[in-house]
This record gives sequence, structure tokens and C-alpha cells, in this order.
Amino acid sequence: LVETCGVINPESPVILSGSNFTALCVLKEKCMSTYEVNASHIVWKANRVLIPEEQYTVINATTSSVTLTNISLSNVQLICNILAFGQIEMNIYGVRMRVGFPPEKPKNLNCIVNEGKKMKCQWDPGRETQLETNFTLKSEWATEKFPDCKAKPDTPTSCTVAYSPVYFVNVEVWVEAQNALGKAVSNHINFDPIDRVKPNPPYNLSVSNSEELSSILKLTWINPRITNVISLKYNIHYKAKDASAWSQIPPEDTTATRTSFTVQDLKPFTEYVFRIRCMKEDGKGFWSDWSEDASGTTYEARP
Amino acid sequence: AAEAAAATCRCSTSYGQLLGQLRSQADLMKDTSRLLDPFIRSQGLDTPVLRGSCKECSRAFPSEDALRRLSRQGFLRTVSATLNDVLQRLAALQQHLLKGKNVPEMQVATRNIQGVRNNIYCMLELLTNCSETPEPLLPGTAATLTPPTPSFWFRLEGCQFLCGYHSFMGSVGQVFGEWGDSLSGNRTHSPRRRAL
Repeated sequence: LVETCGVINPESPVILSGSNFTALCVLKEKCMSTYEVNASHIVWKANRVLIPEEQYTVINATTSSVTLTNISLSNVQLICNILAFGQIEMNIYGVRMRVGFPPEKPKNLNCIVNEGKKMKCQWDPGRETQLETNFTLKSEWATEKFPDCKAKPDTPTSCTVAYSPVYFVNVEVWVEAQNALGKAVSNHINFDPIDRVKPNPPYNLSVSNSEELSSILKLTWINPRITNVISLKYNIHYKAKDASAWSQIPPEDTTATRTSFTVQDLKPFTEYVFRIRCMKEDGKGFWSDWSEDASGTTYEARP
Repeated sequence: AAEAAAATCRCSTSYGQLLGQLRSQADLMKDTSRLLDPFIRSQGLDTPVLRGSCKECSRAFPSEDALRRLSRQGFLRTVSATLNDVLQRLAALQQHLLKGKNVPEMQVATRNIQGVRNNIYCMLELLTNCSETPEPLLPGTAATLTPPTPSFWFRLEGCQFLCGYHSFMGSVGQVFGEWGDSLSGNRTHSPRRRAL
């Protein structure tokens, strides 16, 4: 390894954007004599652009400082060179300056429990920091702390916890954001995971007609497993096969857990398409996705 | 002093929500399809005779009448201590019968029990207005851990214990059902709501 002729301090600076910054380049005695130089022969460059001499200060024979003002570029390569023998420019040392902001307080923290899966929380990270910023989701009961959930670099604004949800027990959740310039903590939210459930959609939706009544079609379906823990309400959409817009059964008609519904006032001998979704009966949580469409045809009207 | 007391509160759940949660939990946990029935199937006890033996629930649990006679705090502490024993017993069953294999129903039951104990801790905070930190939820004396007897009897004992656990949770749910809707209810359970 070629021994360097000097070093820049600090070695890996992280600077608040818009602030001033001073670095030192300290020459080694041995090199000074070899190349007949001292600190006054030092030249500084930022991203290969020469920094005006007015920004240098010769501290002593071995040390020169440079001050950069109102730094805004996010990445700056700072280089300390010397003019060996008064004319040959030689590199002494280089550092990468990272410029950015401390994290802002994460906002709009929100969590969802997709049925059968683990809780996922997401948040707004606030302004771009231009720095490597770690987000950690914290969660706990009054009597137990859960493992930290570290957001992955490629998905810094969400995290899926490692433990299964326990319903009917309030959990406290918050986010901590940290980088080299500081740390920020979101508001804490406290909730029962049962109130953040997104159920799986009802399935096996099927449609049957009635010979006696040509204006009705009966829907039947199977509810998601979550019904053994919560009561559901539904949205039922329907439309004639070639229509573009969906009509909706009045929500007040589908407010309790059920596995069938009879749609009335339909046109005889007409094919209809249906779909259904569900959510927790008291409106807390999220609507499931829509079920698969199912279709059926009303019976012919009696002559 | 009130602020200082409030400062040590670790729970922020309201009385009404906590009571609703405890009732829902008890309702879930009395359901034998969640633990006992899968255990019976997995342990080869699924014959009419053995199932019948299983349903002779262990008497290692406080009866519903005994629970009802306790003050609210006494009731909460007894339930929590008893459930702590259940946790230890589930661990023993898991170790001796299931060879440490993670059985989903056991894991869910364990988590739910820990959840109930957390809610009980919070309810005790509310009842004591956080003035006295609820003592650590001590293990109870309901059932001592018996050293593993020959496997068949240990399995049968295990399923009788689980039967007792489900029944116990039914009693707990019943008593919680009789609690008044407000925090300031009297020392014992509110007679207004007692089942006729």
C-alpha cells in the first residue's frame, strides 16, 4: 500500500445542508521533505473544481484548512492536493462529504392487519434527507415489548412486524427515524388490531334463479375465516351483463354477518353480474377486496 | 399526586374498551375447537371413550362460584395467576408430547393467554387508579407441573387440563359479563347483571 502523504479531517463528514464546513489537510513530515512542500502548497478541490484560495487558511507548516459555505450539493468529493516542487499537482487525500438533513418527525402512521397475515404499518417519512436514514417501527403492550421492525432500505416507509396479531389487546405503535444528523420519533398510536383488519373477500359466490319469481336472483357465498372473531357487513354490487356501471344493494340491508342475499326487482330473463366485499360490522378496519364476479340469469316471466 | 400517579400508568385503554376486550377474549378462549379438539385429534384420543374421559375436565381450576365471590381485584389476580399456570402447562405439553414442534393452536392459545394477562394488568391499573403498581402477575397454585408420567396418562391428563382451561374461560367470561359498565362499580361484581 502506498503510504499517504497526509490526511483530511474529518474523514467521513456528514454536514447539514446549507451550513458551513471546515476541513483540515495535515501533511506528513516525511513527505514534506521528500517533495519540498509545506501547507502553503496545498490546493483544495470540490468535485474536481478548484476552490478559491480565499477559502484556505494555513494553520501551520503541516496543516491547511478550507471552509465551504452554504453547502447544498448532496454529495461532495473534497480533495487535498499539493504542488510538488512548486508545479506538479499531486493528490494527498480525498474524502466524500455527505450533505443532507436530519429526519423529520414521521407522520400519518397507520397500520393494517390483512386477515391471516402479520400487521403492516406505514408512515410519511417527511422531507427527503439525502442521507441514509433508518426507520424502526416499535410496538408494545403494557406488559410486553415486541421485536423492533426495521424498514428495509427499498421500502423505507413501511414495515411488517414479525409476530402474529393478537386481537382484543391494545398495542402501542410508533416509528423512530435516525440518520447521522439526528433522530425523530413519530406520535404513538394505540389501537386494538381487531379494529385494523382487512378481511379476505367472501368466496365461492354463486347465483341461482327462481322459477316462481322471475325478478329475483339469490346469492350465496362463503365468509372468510375471520367471522369466527368479528361480525361483518357487506357491499353487494350488481349490473346487467352489458351495463358499465354497478348498482349497489342499500348498505343498510347488508349490515350483519350472513351467507346469502336475495336481490329483487330484476328484469326477467336477463343475465346479471354480481360481486361482494365485506368489512367489520362496526365500520372499523378496511373493506376486503371484491370477490370474484359471479353471474346468473333471471327466469323467464310467466306469459 | 394524581399527576404523579397518572404518570406511572402504563395502559391507556378505557375501562369500557378493556372490559369489551376481556369479554371477547374469554368468548374466544372457551371455544374447545381452538385448542382441545385439535389436541384430541393430534394425540390419538379421538375415540368416543377417550373423548369422554377427556371431557372429565380437570378440577384444578377455580369454580365459577368461587370466582364470583371474589372482589374485582381478587378475581383479576386469580384469573391471571391461573392463566400463568396454564402457560406453563402448555409449555410442558409442547415439550413432552409435541417434541417441541410448533403447533399453531398452542402458539395462538399462548399468545391469547398473554394478551388476556396484559389486559388484566391494565384493568388492575384502572381499578387501583395506578396508585399501586399491580404486583407482578404471580404464578398461581391451581396446578403444579407434574413430572411427565407415562405418555398415555400424560396425554389424557393434558387433555383433561385443556378441557378445564376452556371451561374456566367460560366461567371467566360469565363473571366479566356481570361486571357493571362503569369503573366505579362496587367491591364485588355488580349483582345487577348477574344471570338469573
